[in-house]
Formats: sequence, structure tokens, C-alpha cells
Amino acid sequence: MQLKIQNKIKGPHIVEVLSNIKLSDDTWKLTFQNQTIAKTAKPGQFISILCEDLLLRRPFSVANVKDDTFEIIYKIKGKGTKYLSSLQSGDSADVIGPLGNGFNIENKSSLLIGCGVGIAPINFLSDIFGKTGVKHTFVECSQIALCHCERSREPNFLTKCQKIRGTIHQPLINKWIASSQAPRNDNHIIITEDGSAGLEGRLDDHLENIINEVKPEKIYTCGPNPAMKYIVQTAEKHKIPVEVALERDFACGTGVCMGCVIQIKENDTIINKRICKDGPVFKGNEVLW
Amino acid sequence: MSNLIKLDTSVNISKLKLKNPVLTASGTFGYANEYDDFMNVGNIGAIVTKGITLNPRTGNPQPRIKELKNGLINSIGLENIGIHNFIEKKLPVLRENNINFIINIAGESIKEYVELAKICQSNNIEAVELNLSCPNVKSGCLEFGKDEETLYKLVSEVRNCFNNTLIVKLSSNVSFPEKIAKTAENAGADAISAINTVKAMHVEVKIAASGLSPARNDNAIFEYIKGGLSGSCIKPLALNFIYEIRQHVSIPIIGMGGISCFQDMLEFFAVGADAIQVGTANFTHPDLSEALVSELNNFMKQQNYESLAELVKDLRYEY
Ligand SMILES: Cc1cc2nc3c(=O)[nH]c(=O)nc-3n(C[C@H](O)[C@H](O)[C@H](O)COP(=O)(O)OP(=O)(O)OC[C@H]3O[C@@H](n4cnc5c(N)ncnc54)[C@H](O)[C@@H]3O)c2cc1C
Ligand SMILES: Cc1cc2nc3c(=O)[nH]c(=O)nc-3n(C[C@H](O)[C@H](O)[C@H](O)COP(=O)(O)O)c2cc1C
Ligand code: FES
Repeated sequence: MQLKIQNKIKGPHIVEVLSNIKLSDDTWKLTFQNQTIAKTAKPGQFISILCEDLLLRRPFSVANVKDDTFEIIYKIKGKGTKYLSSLQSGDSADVIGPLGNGFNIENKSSLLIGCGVGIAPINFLSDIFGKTGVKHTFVECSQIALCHCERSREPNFLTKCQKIRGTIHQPLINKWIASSQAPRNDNHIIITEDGSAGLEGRLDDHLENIINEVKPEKIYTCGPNPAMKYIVQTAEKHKIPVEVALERDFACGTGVCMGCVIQIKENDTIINKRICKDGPVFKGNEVLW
Repeated sequence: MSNLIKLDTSVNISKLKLKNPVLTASGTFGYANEYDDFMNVGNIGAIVTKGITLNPRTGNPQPRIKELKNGLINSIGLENIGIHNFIEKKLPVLRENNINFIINIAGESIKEYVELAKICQSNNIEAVELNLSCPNVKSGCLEFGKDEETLYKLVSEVRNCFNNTLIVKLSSNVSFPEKIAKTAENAGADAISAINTVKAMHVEVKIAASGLSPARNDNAIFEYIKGGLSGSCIKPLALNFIYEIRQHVSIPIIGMGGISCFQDMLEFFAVGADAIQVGTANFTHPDLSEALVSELNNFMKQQNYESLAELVKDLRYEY
């Protein structure tokens, strides 16, 4: 029977840590080796990691995959993420996933907005769009510059960012594209609150301009709820559909405990949906913020 | 494999025959084969479904979950799809996949429990677990598990319309566990399961740098959640509860509360359980229940036990 074939496909997988790199004061990137996850994960899906001395696993978006490896980008919040930052190349971790439903990938000119550590799933999506040739622009908002991708760890990254400061819709510097494996045709806009890279200010200082310039047919976003709510409201004015990737503390992360439900408006009725199983990606206009 | 076959890990809970004593607890394993992503659900003794009510319930507002050091507070409020959706959508999955199961039911009145039991009977459900002890709903089940008179009435009325295995799930939030358990047995319960989550509260007081001020302002931010506590911190309560009732009832007891490893399972057998349920630990290790089954097999082989009954007999703590 079909079900029997599918048993156990989501782990627990014991995965090897390949690298754990500090990207900024509190943000890190972990790369793991695991073929099943690397081959099956879709942007927007997450994995859940068992952390030392903690009862509950911690969920993290898959931030990219390459060959038999996958990576996560995480911000240190508490015990679990502190434990992650202690992992070293060669260590192993107990991971389940990929879990949840990813973004719906359509061949539409898209605006991708990642705020804070919400860039993780957006980074993966941007790579997939790059590979499949979907026209898109990647907007990355953070408090301070995050050197999160291969391309941004190049020497002089910040100086280059400074150069594009004040301009929007600046095509991604060709060299950055070249240093990434994927053929990319995207534009990359960086917004930092302190102006340490790209445009200075917050998303709400620039979003209207970006939308007018890029004229996206669809928006994908992940970040803090207030930012996503603002994006959905702004997009609504322009009649652009938005997909959001939501977060909440999970207990099971697998859809059985009903701990993570949110209210969703579906066909004018309000129903509960589980972020971990029915999401974490939802249509922005269906979320009751 | 061939030497596994000789081992008899089976246990009977009244008419319900289980191939091994490892079950999964209500509310922590879904309704059917959800955990097939992580294990072979058919390998464990049985799953107990999420608590099911007559009509679907949307449950409590957020926050619903708080993780503590060795436990979890939940305030789900029995969100579930209702018995009719269950029968229509989940029952066929359970039967097709040959999964042994027990339906956990909860009502707001005796009438509702009876109605649920009748529906189970007419669908020839093999076993029902009565949730009399959910701390997360305002009206209903909690109180039934506390007052002997209503408990007797409820269990006997359900008994009258349900012929298969009837398990009564008890809470430790009672003054005299043995009286409550005896009442359930007298009213016709085939087995007791215990314990449900324990009433609990979590409070967080955050004091601003400027200190506390008598006038309520933002100096202190209170976060709180009230709900049911589960996980390893309730294991001592559960062991004691089972130990106390074991001396007063002769029907089988299914023990649970903080079981997260093989050693825990043996402790429950020692104090009087005949089978066990894994709850919160499923969230940490989604394949734990299946692992316990294979550990049990290995252990019995190593220690030369041919049947679970012998092992349990040797483990029993003498009163
Ligand atoms: C689907 C999903 C995907 C996620 N992807 C990422 C990611 O790619 N990168 C990343 O850095 N983080 C991500 N998170 C958030 C991450 O799971 C939490 O930051 C992490 O669990 C914190 O664990 P901790 O033990 O370090 O901190 P804790 O000590 O558990 O918590 C510290 C603080 O963070 C809050 N917190 C805990 N869990 C969450 C949560 N899930 N969402 C929001 N706040 C939380 C707590 O309430 C507390 O205030 C994701 C969450 C979800 C649900
Ligand atoms: C999230 C959650 C939901 C639960 N839902 C139910 C329920 O619907 N019905 C029920 O009888 N018990 C429910 N329980 C209680 C468990 O079945 C079990 O009795 C309790 O959690 C103690 O076991 P544990 O410490 O192994 O989790 C729930 C527990 C949790 C953590
Ligand atoms: S965290 Fe358990 S259902 Fe989502």
C-alpha cells in the first residue's frame, strides 16, 4: 500500500553538521548533510531540531539546499538557538522534516521580502526562482547588515552595499551573481535600519516605491507579524496577492496537538488552521492579524 | 526476526487484545496514521485518538502552549473535528491500515457521553476511553471525574449502551484516587487509564529596569497561561496515583504521565500498570512509542522472558 512506502520519510534523521558560520552578532548559518531533506525540501518548509536539555524541538525554515546539503539561518533567542550555535563541523543533530507546506511557486513576476531572520525561506525561494528563471526582486530588510549569502561574504561587501545606497531596483552586482552557483536574474535590494548597507530606513519607508518600480504580480514574505501585516495591507491597495510564512511557538510541529492554530478567513467563515501543518505559508489576505 | 516471534508481548485490556503494551496518549498523536511520517503506527499496541466531542470544537484562544523545564502546559480546549467527521474521515483510514485504536470521547453532559457511546457502539468501535478529566474546558468533563455519584451515573449509563471495552480515564486532581477508581470499576468500567494532565499555571513577571510601581503601568508585564501540565515533571504524581489505585481495583490499569524512556515504562509496570501510554514525549521523539516496543522485545529476549505477563509479575512492587 502507498502509505507503507511513505513511512518514516520525515525522520528523525541524524544529520551531520558541515559548518556553522556566524553572520552577525546574533545570527548564524548552519549547514547540514542529509540527502532526503536536501532533495525534498521546498521553500517555506521547515525542519525541527532536537536541542540539548529542551523538551520541545525548535523549528527553522530551510534557507537553502545544495546537492545533499541544506542550511538554516538562525537568530539566537534562547537556550535552543544557543545550543545550535555550539554545534561544530562533524557534530550531529536529530532533525525531523521537511515539514509543512511551502510557497506556491508560480511563473509570475514576484517581489520577495524577507525581514530579519525571515530572509531564511525567502533566500531559498529566490534561489529556486533564479534556477527556474522566474522574474523576481529580492528585498532584504534588517536592523543591520547581514552577511548571509555566499555572495555577501565577499571582501568589500559592505562597501559595495554602500554604493547602491539610496538607489532602488539596482540590479544585483554582477559579481555577486557570478559567485553564487545558481544562474540568477534577480535584483537584490537591501534595506537596513541603520543604513549600514543598502537603503537606510525601514520597510515602510520604501515599500510603496519598490512596488511602483518593480510592479510585481505576486509578493512572498516572511518576517515579524507587524511587517507582514503591513506588506499585506500595502499590497492590497495595489491588488497584489501575498503569500506569508508565519511563525508561532510549536509543541509537536507535526499537526497533532492543535497548539499552533491561527484564525483564517476562508470563504467568509473564520476557521482554525494549524501553522505547522496547514501552513506555515498562508494567503496574506486570509490571515486575521 | 524468527526469535522475536516466540516472545509474547501481548496484553488484554478486557476484550481488547493488544499486541504489545505500548499505546500513545490522547491529544498527542492525532486521530489515525499521522505519525506514519516517523514510524510504523501499526507496530504499537494501539493509538488513542484526540478527545472527540459530539460536535466539532474550535478550542481555546492562544496562547495554548507553554514549555517548562521538564514539562508542558497546554490549553488546547479540546479542539477536535467532532464524532461525525471522525467516523467519516478517520475511521476508514484506521481500519484500512490495520491500526489498533481506542477512541477518546468527552462530553459536556451525561447525555452527550451516552450519545457518543451509542455512536461508537453502532460503528462497532472496539474500545472507548472516557475523558472525564480535561482541565481545559469550562463546563463538563473535569467535574465528572471528581464526584463519585455523578461518576457512577455517567459510567453506568455509558456501560448500558456500549458493549465493548470501556476505559475510564482519571485525573490526579482528586482527593481520594482509590474511591474514584473503585467507583468507576463498580459502575462497569473494564479498565482505568491515568493520569490526565494536572491543573497548572505559568506566570512570568518581568520587572522593568525602573522597578515596580504600585500603580499598574508597564513596569511589570505579566504573562500567564492556565492549563494542563504534562511531561516528566508529572511522572511522580502518576506513579503514586497508580500505586494507590492498584490496591483497590482489579481491572487493568493503563498508566501514563511523563513516560519518555524504557526505564519509565518499567516503573509504571512496577507500580501496577498493565499497559502504558506515551504522551508529550511523542513531540520530542515522534518515533518513541515504536522504539519502546523494540526495546521491550530486546529486553525480554536478553532477560529470557517469554511473555510480558511474566516480566510484569517480576517487576511488581509488593505491597
Ligand atoms: C515555521 C517556523 C520557522 C522558523 N524559522 C526560523 C528561522 O529560519 N530562523 C530563526 O532564527 N528562527 C526561526 N523560527 C523561530 C525559532 O523557531 C525560534 O526563534 C526558536 O524556537 C527559539 O528557540 P530558543 O530555545 O532559542 O528560544 P526560547 O528560549 O524558546 O525563546 C526565546 C524567545 O523567543 C520566543 N520564541 C520561541 N519560539 C518562537 C517561535 N517559534 N516564533 C517566535 N518566537 C518564538 C519565545 O517566546 C521567547 O520569547 C521559526 C519558527 C517557526 C514556527
Ligand atoms: C497537547 C495535549 C493535548 C491533550 N489532549 C487530550 C485529550 O484530548 N483527551 C485526553 O483525555 N487527554 C489529553 N491529553 C492528556 C494526555 O493524553 C496525557 O494524559 C497526559 O499528557 C499525561 O501524559 P504525558 O505526560 O506522557 O503527556 C492531552 C495532552 C497534551 C499534552
Ligand atoms: S504545533 Fe502541534 S499542531 Fe502545530
